[in-house]
Amino acid sequence: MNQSNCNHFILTTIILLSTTLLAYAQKKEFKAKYGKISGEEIKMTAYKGDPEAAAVVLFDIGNVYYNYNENLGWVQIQERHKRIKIFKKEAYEYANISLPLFGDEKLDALKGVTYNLEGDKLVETKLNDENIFTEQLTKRVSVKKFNMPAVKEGSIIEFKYTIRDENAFFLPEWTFQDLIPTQWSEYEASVPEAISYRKMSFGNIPFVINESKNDAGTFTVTLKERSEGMVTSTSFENAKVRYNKNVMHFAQANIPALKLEKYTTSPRDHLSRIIFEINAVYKVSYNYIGSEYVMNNTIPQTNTFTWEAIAKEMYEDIFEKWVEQDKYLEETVINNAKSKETQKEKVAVVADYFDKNFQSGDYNSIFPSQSLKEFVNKHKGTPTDINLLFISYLKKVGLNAAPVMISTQKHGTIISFYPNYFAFDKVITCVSIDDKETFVDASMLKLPIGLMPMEDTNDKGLYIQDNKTFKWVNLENKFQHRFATHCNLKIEKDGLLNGAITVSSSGYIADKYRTIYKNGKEETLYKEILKEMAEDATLTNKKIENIDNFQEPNIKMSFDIKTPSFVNVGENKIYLSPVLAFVNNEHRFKDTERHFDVHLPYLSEQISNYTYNIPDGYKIESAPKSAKISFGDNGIIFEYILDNSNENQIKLNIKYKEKATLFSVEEYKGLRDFYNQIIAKISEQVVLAKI
Amino acid sequence: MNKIYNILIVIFLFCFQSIAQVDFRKPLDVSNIPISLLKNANVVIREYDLNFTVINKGEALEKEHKVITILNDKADNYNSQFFYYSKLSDIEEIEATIYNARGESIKKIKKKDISDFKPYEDYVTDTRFKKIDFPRLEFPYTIEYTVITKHKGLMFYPLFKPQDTPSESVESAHFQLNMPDGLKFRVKEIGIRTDMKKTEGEWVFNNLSAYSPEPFLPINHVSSPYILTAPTNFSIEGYDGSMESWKQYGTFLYQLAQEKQELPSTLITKLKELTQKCPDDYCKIQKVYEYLQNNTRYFYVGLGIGGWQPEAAKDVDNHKYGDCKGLSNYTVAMLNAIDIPAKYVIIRAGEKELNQHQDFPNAWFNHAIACVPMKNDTVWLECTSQTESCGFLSSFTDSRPALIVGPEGGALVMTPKYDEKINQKIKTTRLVLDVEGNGILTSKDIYKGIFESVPSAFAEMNNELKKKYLYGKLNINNFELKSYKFERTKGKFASVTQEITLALPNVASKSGNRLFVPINLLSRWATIPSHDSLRVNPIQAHERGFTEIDSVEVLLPKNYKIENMFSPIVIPTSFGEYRLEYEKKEESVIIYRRLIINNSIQPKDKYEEFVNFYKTIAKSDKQKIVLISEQK
Repeated sequence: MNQSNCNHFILTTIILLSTTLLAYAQKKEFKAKYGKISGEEIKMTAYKGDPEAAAVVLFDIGNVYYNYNENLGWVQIQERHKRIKIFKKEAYEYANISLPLFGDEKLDALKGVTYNLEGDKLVETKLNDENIFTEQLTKRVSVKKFNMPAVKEGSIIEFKYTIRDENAFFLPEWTFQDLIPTQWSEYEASVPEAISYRKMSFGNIPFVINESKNDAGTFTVTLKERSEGMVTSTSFENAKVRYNKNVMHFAQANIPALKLEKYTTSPRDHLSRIIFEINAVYKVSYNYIGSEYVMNNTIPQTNTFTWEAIAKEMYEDIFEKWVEQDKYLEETVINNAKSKETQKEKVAVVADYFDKNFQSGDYNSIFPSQSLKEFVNKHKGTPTDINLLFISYLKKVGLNAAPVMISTQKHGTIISFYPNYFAFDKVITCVSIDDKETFVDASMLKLPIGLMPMEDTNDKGLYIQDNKTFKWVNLENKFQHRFATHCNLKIEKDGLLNGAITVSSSGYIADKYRTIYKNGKEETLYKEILKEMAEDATLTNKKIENIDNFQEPNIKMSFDIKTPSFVNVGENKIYLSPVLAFVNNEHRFKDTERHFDVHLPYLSEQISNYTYNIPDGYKIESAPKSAKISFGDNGIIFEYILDNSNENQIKLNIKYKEKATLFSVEEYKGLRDFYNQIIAKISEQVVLAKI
Repeated sequence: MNKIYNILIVIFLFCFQSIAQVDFRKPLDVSNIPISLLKNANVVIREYDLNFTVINKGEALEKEHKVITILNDKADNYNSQFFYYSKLSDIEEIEATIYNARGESIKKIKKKDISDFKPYEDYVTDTRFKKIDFPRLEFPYTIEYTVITKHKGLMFYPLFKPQDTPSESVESAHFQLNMPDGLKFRVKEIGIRTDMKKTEGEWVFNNLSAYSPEPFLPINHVSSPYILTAPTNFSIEGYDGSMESWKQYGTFLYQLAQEKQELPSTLITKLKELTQKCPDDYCKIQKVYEYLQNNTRYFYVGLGIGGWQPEAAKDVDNHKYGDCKGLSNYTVAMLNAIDIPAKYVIIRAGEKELNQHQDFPNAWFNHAIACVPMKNDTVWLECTSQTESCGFLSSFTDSRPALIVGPEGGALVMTPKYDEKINQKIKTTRLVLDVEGNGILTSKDIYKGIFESVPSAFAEMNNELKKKYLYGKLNINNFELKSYKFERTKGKFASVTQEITLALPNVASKSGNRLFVPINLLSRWATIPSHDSLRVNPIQAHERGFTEIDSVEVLLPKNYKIENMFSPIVIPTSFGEYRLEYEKKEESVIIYRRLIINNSIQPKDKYEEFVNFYKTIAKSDKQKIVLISEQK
């Protein structure tokens, strides 16, 4: 065991652990000494809580506090101490650590060590300068990369560092959970009263420690003159100033690895974490009270921060400058729009101009990424930049338009009882068209007006008309996402299907086809629609309507088809699979296990009508039975109606309709079975026999 | 006289005016682009000028001037341009301008629109970028830039490919290589016509049209002309070398690796102990390779001699991590220390990088491995993997020339060739059905050659990942994985045996008293080449070739008999052969399927045969057997 490290630890412990913290020791305490590895840890071959895990975080302990410096003000200190046990090679990446440093963050002390058991000897290999690399990514961002040496299966890696930030804008967030399990994760943040902040926590893992307490701290200042009421003197003197601080302490234990699944809302909604938002940093002043110097009371921590306050501030500080301006508008566009009769046409003119002239980047934030002037010069910006300028155009045209702050699907769901700026990541446009509130995302305009990009349709948004008028608006889209086919086909004796098919689609389904058409060719689109049928079908008389005109919600396609698929000719029999390939027959839920609620991306509907004409000399020997099944409280319905009352014809109508998008994890098994039933039903066959 | 002169001037002015009207268009007006260049194009390179002036064997000045018209939003990404530099190069000057569709200059790009950054990467390198951020104008518009780069350390001369992607048309391009007295360059021209070559070291290109790329092109197909240039003698960070032959270039690389070979004596002792009981060299190699895999991990550090010098073996031993060069050199050092004549090898890795310029010594490499030439054979070692089989190379490095580096210089040697005889999937499947059409499927699948990599990687992972992999990979709509097992057979001919048991509810669709049983659940063919225009280029179905062998025994449920079977089929083609047959047994039927695809290059007029071949396979694989219940 390394003696000097032990000593160092004791020293830091004394500095770090305030008396308040020690009080928690009775409750639940985790002792983590740098350099002190237990025999149990090093001999561990699997983590009991998750024997499959390739590695486990033994502990991850973070600590943030502030020191006051007369010249610099509040200096933020972040400390972190982490120990990971590696079981399998696939977890080696956890030994390569990247630490991004933003702004004025400086890495003050970094040390690390890898422990291996060789025979019955514990061997330590220290992290040294050769394992540490610094890269300057941009002027404001650098990254420290450190690679723990001598890592193999069974190793324990441990590291500890301090980051000092003289100009901290953020109170670092803490993530308790990782893609590997975590035994113990603990965070303490000690924030002077002069810094006003809000805290939010996510995920549903219980806290072992969750406490917040007021405490006192001191800092030293040099006094040039004495306070009033004292005898005047010019001598310099050091004085201790007492101040109040809030100490928050959190811990979670035995945190399972985060699972990633399809059809869920953002993983950010599930990930166990705590975030903070700093509202204000107040100027420090102090008085001599009683027998000591005490920092003046600043505005106390409040939880009265509201969405209204956010809306007002955003409008006054930012949006107003962008949306209430006419300095950066193109007159011709305004005039052209004004000359149109209907409000929808007016919006369409401005939308067309924006679609052709502005380029959107990927980065999202509710704060503009540049000045309005810069943006207008470049015509390139974030979705928020584009929408704010778009709103100013609509207003100038005389329409009632306003910004709406939203959280995209990727960003996660807005939690109503945590008013904060981070809840949002994008600004879109709300414009009133014929007295109807219509949402438009001017950064993605290749959609009919009123249909928002799918990523924007996440629960609700905060509509901000001006500094007084704001409200929550529902972002559920009212469009129908529909796919419908109508097939009139004749079964030929040689096994060909021959006839006419029409396909119509709307909403996101139509949007998907437009994207495929644009990026590929006509053939790619037919392949997408016909699926496996495209392989050997011969199509003639192909017609497509509205594929380029994205203001038109419906795409209509029609064609004549000849295909040998779906019919099989046997001895005296013809076998027909009556449900052709374009019905979505792919199973959405193949996995048998599920951890999170199911969230379907949008409400979709599929309708197919088939008419099959039977060849002369054949009769229907057997046909599938009609069936209606549904899941949940009519959450999804499926209908399969087969009519063979006419001996020369089979009519089949299939309808699949989603009426809800959210299903709980408890419903998963039932949902999976429901899909299994659908798939079994659409695989059934019709048998024709020679008369 | 004077009068006439005045009149002449007037006439002249008139003429000039009318001429000026005709030619009023600015040179960069988009309407000046020949119509033939607009088809299939998202951008048109109006001018591309690359001037590479070698100052001496270690320094050069590169001037790149490019004028690009961006036609539509598929080419939106062109309006940010990135220029890479590193410790071995400095960007000395950047100038840029943007023009509207009429070719009128709209804006000169200022310094503040040029940013300097480094993308966030997992590994460590010293490469950085300058980025010009052009404003976005209404399409079409034109951007222009000139970038001057000073190179210090010159192992590479330019690869000039005027048409970088199929959706670019090139109106005019010019490449010039200037050499100082006494220094020669070397060149390989690929797809260059005589009219493209102007003088020694100078080429011009006019009107290269964008094209729609075709699938299944031969691996050596040249879609667009390019020029590969390389130095004779070069100098980089104080090291001198020559590239005139593979032998000489190998000598240079050997020099970089050789001085990094020293190992701590404790390790040598350990290795000797580890291998002392070995009866032969192969056993020793295996032991050392195992030691490497159990004690190191991969981490890329692209510093040192532009990323070409391996990290010292003793440092790798100390850190227990390294990149391909560091780990390969370390392995070579360890093997040499126990008197195994291992060699350091550099190679161009990548699944599709099979075609190399063997006759043109150059630095077109991106990876390092190790090898031990034996009496009858060579043992190849991929040193960056903790799980790879000793002596086995995956599709990352197989079937291509590699440069073996030693004291006697470099030599090109082919790595093991994996073709349809090696690349195999062999599946033995049994499907037991009940009267309702539910099934239990058991299958034993063997993966070899290039098919070995993925299952062998999962073989090493935990059960959760194995399950995830199987649920994702199996293209069956409704199944439950009942059991699974992965077993690796390591060695030069590595393979993985994957055994699975699946519960398959309703696998055979029950309609009335019939069951429709899919004949092939695990190997259904799905690739159908598109066939929407006349084939222009030759065809290669697969760059290596492979074989799929399936036998599926379907056990009939009680009281069911076969009503309808598929017709057996054998399709021999120039691309390979497909065979589907069956054998009826008392209570079961066995379906035999065999697909062999070769790597031959076939003429373009066989494209239809090729498409039909794949169509037939896809259709045949989807067939169903019809069973009928005798009890009605």
